[in-house]
Amino acid sequence: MKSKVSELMDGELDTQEATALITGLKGRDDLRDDWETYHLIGDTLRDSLKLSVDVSQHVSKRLEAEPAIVASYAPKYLPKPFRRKMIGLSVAASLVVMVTGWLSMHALFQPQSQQTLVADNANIEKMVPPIHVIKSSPHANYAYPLEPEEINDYLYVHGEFSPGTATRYLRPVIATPE
Amino acid sequence: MTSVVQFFLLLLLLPGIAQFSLAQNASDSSSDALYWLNKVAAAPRLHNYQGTFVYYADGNIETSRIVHIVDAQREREKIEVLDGLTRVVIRDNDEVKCYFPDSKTVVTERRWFRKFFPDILPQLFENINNSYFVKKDKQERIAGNDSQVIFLEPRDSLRYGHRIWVDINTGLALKVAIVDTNRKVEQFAFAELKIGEDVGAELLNSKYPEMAVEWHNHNLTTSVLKKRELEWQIKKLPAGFKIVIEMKRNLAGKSVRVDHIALTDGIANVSVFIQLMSDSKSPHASGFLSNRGATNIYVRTIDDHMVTTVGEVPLETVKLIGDAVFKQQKSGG
Repeated sequence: MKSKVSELMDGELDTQEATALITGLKGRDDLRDDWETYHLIGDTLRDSLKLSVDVSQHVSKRLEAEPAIVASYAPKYLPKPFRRKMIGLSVAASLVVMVTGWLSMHALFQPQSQQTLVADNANIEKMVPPIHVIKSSPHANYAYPLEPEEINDYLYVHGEFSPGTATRYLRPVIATPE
Repeated sequence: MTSVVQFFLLLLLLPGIAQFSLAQNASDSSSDALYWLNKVAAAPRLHNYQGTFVYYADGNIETSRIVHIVDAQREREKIEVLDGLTRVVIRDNDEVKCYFPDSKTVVTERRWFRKFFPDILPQLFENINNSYFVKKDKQERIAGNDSQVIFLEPRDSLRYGHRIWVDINTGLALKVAIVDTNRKVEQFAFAELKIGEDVGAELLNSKYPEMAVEWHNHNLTTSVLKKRELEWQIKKLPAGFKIVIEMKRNLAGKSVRVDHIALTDGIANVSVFIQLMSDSKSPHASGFLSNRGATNIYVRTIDDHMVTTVGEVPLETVKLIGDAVFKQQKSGG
């Protein structure tokens, strides 16, 4: 189920699956926690100052406090034709805002193909064990070496001297028969 | 004619401009920023904490859970890697046991130096100002805690930059990023963290020590040698680097012993391993390998030995160190 939450965030679910999961999220605290944790991880890594906090309540309160303005405003000192024109323009502007808003909302809820940091969570289960060594040859006169058999052991013991990266090198050691 | 005069005037001014910019770079790190670094180094010895941290590099994320308990006598820790194969580390002061349930293996070793994230800094910062310009940056919130950002800007191209988000209240590193110019090469960050007395020692409990009695047991042993006692030495160290330790050690599940020289510039670490080629089944060729994130590897063969240099430094630096390795002539031999 966790992977489903991750897939939902990555836009990998179809409408039917997404709807079912969102309904599920409403009723299950653990899934909602996963949702929040995944967003928090993404925000933390992205250097976001605005962490994923629940702003809905805050926004609702502000909206309640705001006076509701429904009529278009045109200054009374302007001649009537100008006032009519201004009202027309403001209606047109509102329409543009509405259409733009609809388009961006539509785009938001479309499955997104772009890669995000959070999207990587979906691949965690598919991830190979942490060691992943690739060959590179920045100096033309050096050949690609074949990976030394002991490279994982070297990386493992080097971990002591690089504490920040030590956990990456923890991989199963194949026991040799005594 | 005028433009020729202007050109020569500019040529005359250039050394002055260059000197001015060098003087800017050579400025001392701020004492305030160094105070924060000391706070980061001391924090793991002063606070209990429990949390989940993520490692991110090259589009890969790995999540780990950590519990850290400290009292007057002991410093104990449990780290569980939550993604992929199960891996659990249990540390009691210097003794570190790594449990691999899938292969029913446990590896035991002694770690004298530094440990795991967020315990990332040495206790002493000798000459760090020669290699990095340490400065205070903005403040940010990480995992719900206010943090002060400290930037260790490298003074040359031999090392990466390090950005550390320090918890303002406790000094714990909440996030660490290794940066190459402006690109983040790798980073660790807490996604959630609880600090303080509420974090109890019972959280260290694990089923694995009991289960591992019947597992394959590997003890990693080392023999620390005196300075220059090792047959292999490094001729000229890159600026700012010094040798931390020279030793002979075994590798898990293998009977051969390899020579290991560890170097540091105070922040970045490099290990040089020297092994007789006949002890290894590997094909022998010189060249570069690069691991995920900031780690670079340079393999070189000298006579009948394979020299592997590993470190969280640019390729240029692992090559400089690897190329400086030579075999000492035994005196009187």
